[in-house]
Amino acid sequence: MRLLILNFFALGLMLAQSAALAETVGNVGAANPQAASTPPNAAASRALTLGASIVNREKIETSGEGTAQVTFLDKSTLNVGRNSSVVVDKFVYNPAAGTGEMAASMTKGVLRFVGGQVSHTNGASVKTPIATIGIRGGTMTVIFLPGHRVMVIDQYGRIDVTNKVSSQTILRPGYAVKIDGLNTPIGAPFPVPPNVLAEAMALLTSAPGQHGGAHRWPNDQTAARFDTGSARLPNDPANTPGPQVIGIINLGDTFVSNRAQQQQVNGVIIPIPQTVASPTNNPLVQTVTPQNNNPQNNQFNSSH
Amino acid sequence: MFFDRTTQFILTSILLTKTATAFHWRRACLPALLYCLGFGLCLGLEAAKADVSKAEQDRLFAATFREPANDKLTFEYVRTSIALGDHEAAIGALERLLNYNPRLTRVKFELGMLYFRLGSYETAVRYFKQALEADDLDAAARARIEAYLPDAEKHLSPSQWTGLLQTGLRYQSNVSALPDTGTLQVFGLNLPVSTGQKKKSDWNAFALTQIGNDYDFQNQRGDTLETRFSGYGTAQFSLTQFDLGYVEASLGPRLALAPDLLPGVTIKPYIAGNLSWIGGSQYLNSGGAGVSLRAPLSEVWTIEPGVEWRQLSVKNPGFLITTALGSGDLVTGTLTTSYKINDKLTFEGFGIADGAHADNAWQSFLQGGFQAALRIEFDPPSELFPRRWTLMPYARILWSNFDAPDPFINASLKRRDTDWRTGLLLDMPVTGWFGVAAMFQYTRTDSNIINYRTDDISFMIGPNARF
Repeated sequence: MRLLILNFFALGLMLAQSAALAETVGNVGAANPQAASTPPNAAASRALTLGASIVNREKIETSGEGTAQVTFLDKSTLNVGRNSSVVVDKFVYNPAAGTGEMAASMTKGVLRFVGGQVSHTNGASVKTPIATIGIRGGTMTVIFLPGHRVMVIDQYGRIDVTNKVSSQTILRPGYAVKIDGLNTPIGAPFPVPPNVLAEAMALLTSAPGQHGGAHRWPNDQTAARFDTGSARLPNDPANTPGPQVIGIINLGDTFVSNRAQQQQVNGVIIPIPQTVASPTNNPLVQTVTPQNNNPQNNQFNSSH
Repeated sequence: MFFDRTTQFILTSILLTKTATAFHWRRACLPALLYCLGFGLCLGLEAAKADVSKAEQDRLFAATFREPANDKLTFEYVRTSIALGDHEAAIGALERLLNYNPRLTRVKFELGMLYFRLGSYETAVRYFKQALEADDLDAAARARIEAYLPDAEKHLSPSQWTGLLQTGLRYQSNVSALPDTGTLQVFGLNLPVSTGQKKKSDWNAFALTQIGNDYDFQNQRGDTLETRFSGYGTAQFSLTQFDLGYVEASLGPRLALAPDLLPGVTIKPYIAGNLSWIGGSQYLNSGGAGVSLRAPLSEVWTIEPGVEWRQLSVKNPGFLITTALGSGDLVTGTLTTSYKINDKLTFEGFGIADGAHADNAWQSFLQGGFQAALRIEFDPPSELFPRRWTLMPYARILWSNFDAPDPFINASLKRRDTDWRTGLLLDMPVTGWFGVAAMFQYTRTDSNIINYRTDDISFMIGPNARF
């Protein structure tokens, strides 16, 4: 009897786990054929369609023409480029707490991950055959290079890259690391080569004639109506008049007023004591003048 | 909405000014009080707004999740996310739309701006260039991209130059820095000034420049070598004895302290020096060194304490050496802070405490004060002007206590000054590099010695160029 209860308990646990695994963790925001996915335990893959659900352990594969974008429940997005293979290993999200966990793995191609709530709190990870990449609060592109090498490009946030023998952290947007193998030390971050970034962007974007599965396409008129592309960037304080300009002008005023006050007393009318000044006892006055004769020393001598 | 808040701030300031004047509060404290209150007011309003928008963003996200191809919902979601400063959410949504239509010029431009904001300049440059290549780009968007593309490209170079050149005309009501009273204190006596010695106003033509070079060592730490140069020259129309020339330069590395443990915290040791001339002859030259620490306390709040020592050499020609500035040592402690209230409103504060140990005891002093400014950026009247305009109200107060009485002025009275100034600066860029700026300022010094009780109204306007 006890064994039976334990068996039922174990079965219940398995069913609960299975239900959790089958829960929708995201959906397909865009898909260009050929893009297909294989849910866990499914015998065959299915063509990715716009709005289709994505569950844990679902594998997404694209052909040389295919691309896909997955939007997760925490607002993060995963763009899968051409000739790629990515598995959503685990995505857990608690919207009330804003916490969760995200793990994916990738065996070929290119992906761009744009972080959401989970990556901002607990971080997210992408596993490749030669390195594991952890990202906290950011945006990154991972691209497989010829020769089974991988490049990780930091576009925002902190990225930790680890293989069997070493690890590197990328802190600067626009910097990248290259991983040459599982047992090869990872080199220091360097500015991303423009050609690699250009290639990655081309692989992640729809080609002319592709529309990501949408039947009605957005246009610039609609974009303008919603202020997209209408804003201006904040000014750079380094070349915009501000406190520094005010400071320099005020410093100049301080210098000039000090010079002026230094010389003011030279024009003051000083009464001379009658006993010294005049035998006639008339009040006379005397103007203090500087000892040297440089006209620059008296503001009023040279003012006209 | 933005102008509603600004209007409320201005109205509150006026109301407080009236109230304060009625109660005869110390004028020196008034500007600081007003700006503190205005700052708090704006902060509260912004916080209230952020709560509302976050709920709206969640609602729109849920809607776009159900209908990913609904472009109107997505654009609305993007607009809300940008307003909230959630640039990544906006990027994800816009890159989805770009999948539906890879020819969306405005979306590429917006993506360029979003990556620019994140500091991902290489990606920003690529999106800007893609948008520029489009045939259907309107004139306003083209003007903006042509302004921002060089800004983004600048960050990709190891040697990054930044500069501002401001020229124009400036009026001052009291260039000669004389008090209203018509008397000056000399040897402890209040004596009348001579008839030719009055407060004098004058105009000048001026040029001011700030040039900076950041040499990026392109290492993971983000270390740079910072070179700064500033120059200021005036040519008075009448009082040419007050023509001013001033140049200053500084050089020092900015080093990340511990990028892993303290991201963004940098320290900068530097050397600095200046030369100046008044009326064609040398006035105050200095040389010294300092160190400052820049620490971001959050994504929107940065503080920068610093300390600096300088050796001053002041040439004060004349018989009676009565000026506040004399040769000697000057040690200055500063605390600069910047708080970004929202995308268009930044509070900038500056506190200073310094001590001058001059060769003459009556030129030695202790000073303390602070400056508060609000950097208000707003959209210009024409879509063709690519950059935002900036309005900056500011106020400064500075207290000075001198170590010893000036024997030529009053042998029994140590000088104590309170200097305060308040003003408004308006910068109006017309193209990416050319613009016009204007500044109005009222300055007042209260002192326990009548010689130094002065006030001055100044106004300047002129064209500027930036790169």
